[in-house]
Amino acid sequence: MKRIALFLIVAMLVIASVPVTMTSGQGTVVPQVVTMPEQIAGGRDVSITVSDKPASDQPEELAIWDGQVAKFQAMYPNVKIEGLELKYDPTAFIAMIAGDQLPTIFKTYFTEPEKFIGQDAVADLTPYFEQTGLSSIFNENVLAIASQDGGLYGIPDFAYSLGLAYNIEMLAAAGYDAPPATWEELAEMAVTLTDKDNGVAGFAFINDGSGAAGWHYTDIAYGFGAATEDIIQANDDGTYTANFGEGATVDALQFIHELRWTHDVLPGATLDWANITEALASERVAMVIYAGDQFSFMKNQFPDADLSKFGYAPIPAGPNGSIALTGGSLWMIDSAASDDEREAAFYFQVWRQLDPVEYESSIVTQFETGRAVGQPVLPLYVGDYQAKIEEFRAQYDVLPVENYILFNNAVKNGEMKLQAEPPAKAQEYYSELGILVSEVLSDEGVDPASRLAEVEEEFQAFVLD
Amino acid sequence: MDRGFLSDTELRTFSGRLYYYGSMAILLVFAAVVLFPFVYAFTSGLKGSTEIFTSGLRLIPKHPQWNNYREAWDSFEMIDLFYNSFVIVSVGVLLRITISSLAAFALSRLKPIGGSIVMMGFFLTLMIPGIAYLVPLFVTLKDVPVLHVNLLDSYWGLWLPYSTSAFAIFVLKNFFDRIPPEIIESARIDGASQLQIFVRIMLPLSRSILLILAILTFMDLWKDYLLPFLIITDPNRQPITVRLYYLADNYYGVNLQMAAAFIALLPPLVVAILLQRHLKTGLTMGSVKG
Amino acid sequence: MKVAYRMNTLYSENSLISRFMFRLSNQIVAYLFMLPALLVFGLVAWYPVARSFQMSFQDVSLRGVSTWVGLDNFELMQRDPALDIVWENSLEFASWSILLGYLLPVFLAILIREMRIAKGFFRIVYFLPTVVPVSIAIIVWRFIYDPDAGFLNGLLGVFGIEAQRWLQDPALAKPSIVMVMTWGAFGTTTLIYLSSLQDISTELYEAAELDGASPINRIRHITIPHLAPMMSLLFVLQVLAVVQVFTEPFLLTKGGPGRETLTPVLHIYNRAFMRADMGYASAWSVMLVIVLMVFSIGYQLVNRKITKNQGA
Repeated sequence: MKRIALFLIVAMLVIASVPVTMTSGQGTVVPQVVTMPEQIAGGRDVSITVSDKPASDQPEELAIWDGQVAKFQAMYPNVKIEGLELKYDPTAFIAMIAGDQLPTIFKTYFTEPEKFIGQDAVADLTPYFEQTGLSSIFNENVLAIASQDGGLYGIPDFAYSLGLAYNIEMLAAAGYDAPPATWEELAEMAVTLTDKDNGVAGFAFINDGSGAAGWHYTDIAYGFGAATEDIIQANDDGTYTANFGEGATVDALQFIHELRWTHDVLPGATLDWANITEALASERVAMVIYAGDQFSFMKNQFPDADLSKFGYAPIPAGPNGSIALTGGSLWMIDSAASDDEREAAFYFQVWRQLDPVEYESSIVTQFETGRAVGQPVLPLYVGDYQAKIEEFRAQYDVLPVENYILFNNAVKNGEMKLQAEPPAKAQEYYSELGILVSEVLSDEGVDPASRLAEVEEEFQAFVLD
Repeated sequence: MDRGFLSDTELRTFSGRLYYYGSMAILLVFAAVVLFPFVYAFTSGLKGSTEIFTSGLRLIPKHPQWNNYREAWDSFEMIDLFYNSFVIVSVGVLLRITISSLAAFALSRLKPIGGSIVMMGFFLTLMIPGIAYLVPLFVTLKDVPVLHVNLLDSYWGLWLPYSTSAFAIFVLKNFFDRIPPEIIESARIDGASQLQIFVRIMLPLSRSILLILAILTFMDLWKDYLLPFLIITDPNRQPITVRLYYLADNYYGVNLQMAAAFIALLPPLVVAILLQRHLKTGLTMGSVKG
Repeated sequence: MKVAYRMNTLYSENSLISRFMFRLSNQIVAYLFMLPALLVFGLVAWYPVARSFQMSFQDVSLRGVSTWVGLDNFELMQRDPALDIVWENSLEFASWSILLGYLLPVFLAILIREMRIAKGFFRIVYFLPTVVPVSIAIIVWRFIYDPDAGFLNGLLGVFGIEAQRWLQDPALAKPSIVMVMTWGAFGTTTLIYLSSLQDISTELYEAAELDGASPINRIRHITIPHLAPMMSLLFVLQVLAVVQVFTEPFLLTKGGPGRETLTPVLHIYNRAFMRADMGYASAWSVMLVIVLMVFSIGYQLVNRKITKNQGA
């Protein structure tokens, strides 16, 4: 697996705040950016499978889906779309690659393209992007995640960055009217907020020893001043050197060690991607490293949770300011799909994602059915298009967006910088570091500096060389 | 007379009684420990979504939320999950028993040339852990040699691996070996074919062992996690072990997880209690497999 | 067989040929009976085993062409930071499992055997956990172990002991997992011992009692020797099972904290199905098989030697 083009420092878009205007009901606010072809696959019969069809226990989403499929099939009668209630899962999808079982088009995370491209499992979509001119609509930094060696392998459908979610009431009760601005402040506040007797931890991040834990750690390390080359450095001769054995990465791990063993502000339970939300929603943690879209997850999965209690701020700042890692999801197309299938799959996805009528009606339906609208995420598109969809969506915000002002402003004003992932073997690095973080959290005797140096050496020998 | 290493007379002495009631107490404590997770799942399933995090030692919820059970039943789609598991497992049992008894009959009665080599081949699979060939098993099931059909995401992808059991072949062969040869000889003189002998004589004579094997296999396959987890990717067709865990782990609050787990635990328990008579003999036999 | 029978009479003149034909048709029938088993075993066991061996020497591409890489996978294994840890973990898991779960069933079986009432009750109760799917039981166990809200820490709290992080503490994670495994398995072994105990003739005990042997001595000289062969067999099987454990650590700890509960099979799973490195995972599989075989054979040799010495 060669290197994957990834973010460097991303200058964020400045989005003009556009006053809210109601649509007349005839036209759409969101401009048409995708020109749909007259015919797909030259009119030949083609059938495709699509992942992430909503399950029957989500009738509203399912209705949207069914409507879209019916409409698209009416527009292109030769196309047959079969939805699969299949959600991305690394294991299952590796099985599916091996078994030629991939859906024609499927949704996966930003962490995964490297693996799929490396296994020749996904199709290069460059021709379709050129045909439609859509690459100019997307934020190029997001597209970069789906690109490798000049090929473009995916259609990003949303992007988020990490931030800090906090329980406004808990902070207020402890006398804080704002979330921490720096990591030092975070540690101090966490001490005050921790209430072991009532099972409340001051601060939490994903600590399950998985790649996600390594990822949250890396975000803290960036905050402590680590640059990507301080983690894994790309050499001129095409080799890579692991560099995380010293410097800011050690400071960050030391910080985690202190949070756990000196300040004792972290939760005892193992929190993974799903149940860190449960911990926040059930008010067992005061502050967590959180992805903005997880508020939607909270809203949809924990109907009892009162979302107005939770605020969202940029990641605390370190020597280089506030720096965040990004994530998101994208759609990729099976490389085993025929040209006709690829074409149908590509147009189906861009149509339902970008077509103004589809976009607007899906937002309206989400709003009407009380689903989460207004999650604090990153702008996926650029220019006027992005401005217009935000303008449209603002009318339907269901989530308490006023609680996310700190985060949204930091994004708009470029105060929170987005930093790329390490240039090679990022996922392997995350999973190794996830293990180390879990070690530090579980054993006071672990010396962050010497263990990091050891892991760096092992990583160099085992993964990079 | 039923006695153990202690006689009834000894049990009536003071130290005998002390020992007797002492050991009964120990057994009861262990029984309580063993049963605890079931009770805990049941009562935790009745708690509210926040109460469950504060209850600690308190087992009995303040206000039992019976509705949790209905909600768990619906949102985990329990009926479908049970149904999937049932289909997967019962066909698996049927295939395993059929294929194993046929092979065992041949090995036991028909003295095939190279029979011991075949037997060793079967035993080899007991020595090699399944995970060791899981990866190529996958590739094989995806494109079955000669037939070129894809069995992934199909129940056949489970039924075929489930139908192989060196253990079942071994047990049945041993059983067949012990059937007096005179019975078979007399049938052969009557002109019965081997298939007739197998169906009309061997199988009826082995009813008990076949039943025990079927029960053991059923329980074994019902518990399987790894293979269906990898092979059945369509969530609507996954067995309860895979799907319920996934849903619990990813979507629902702990109280609903507990309610769902308790519901899922009930059928195996009921089956075990109902069939325990047969299990007694079965387990001794099962020890060979561990 | 009817066919063979007729052939037999037809060729009665030439007994050599007829016997040959008889045997041949007999063989054909025998192999027809074994055919389904041979086909299925071939497809889902023997062929994949051979492929696994082959893949351990390859860089396996899931879609494209796999290339031979010689011993690369095995050399890479030497640099794998998990290598030593995984085998140490296996050893520790096995030790914990023997400690918590090996003698317990013997002990309980002897106790149950003496019960004059409620034998059936204990038999059923102890057996119940063994029919429960691990993945379902773990949903419950995980919450029993929950460091903040779990029952176990609540119980400790009553005795004034501070809350433990059962699955997150390196010192506790292994025994905590072994507890779950023992809970799910000891019932089977208890019943096996119990049924073996029922085979002991009560006359032996009576005779011993008349000879004035104390209850303890009766256990030592009659009960335990009777159970010994079964205990020896179950010892190997328990170790083999523990080394191959997957579901419990996979679902409870994912191998953590750190790599404290990473087992060989879990590591193989991670490499193969998370990282798509099938060749390397196959190399691990080959090593696992070798280790298990060496253990089983070694154990048998030692065992045989001991029995021989005792016999002499």
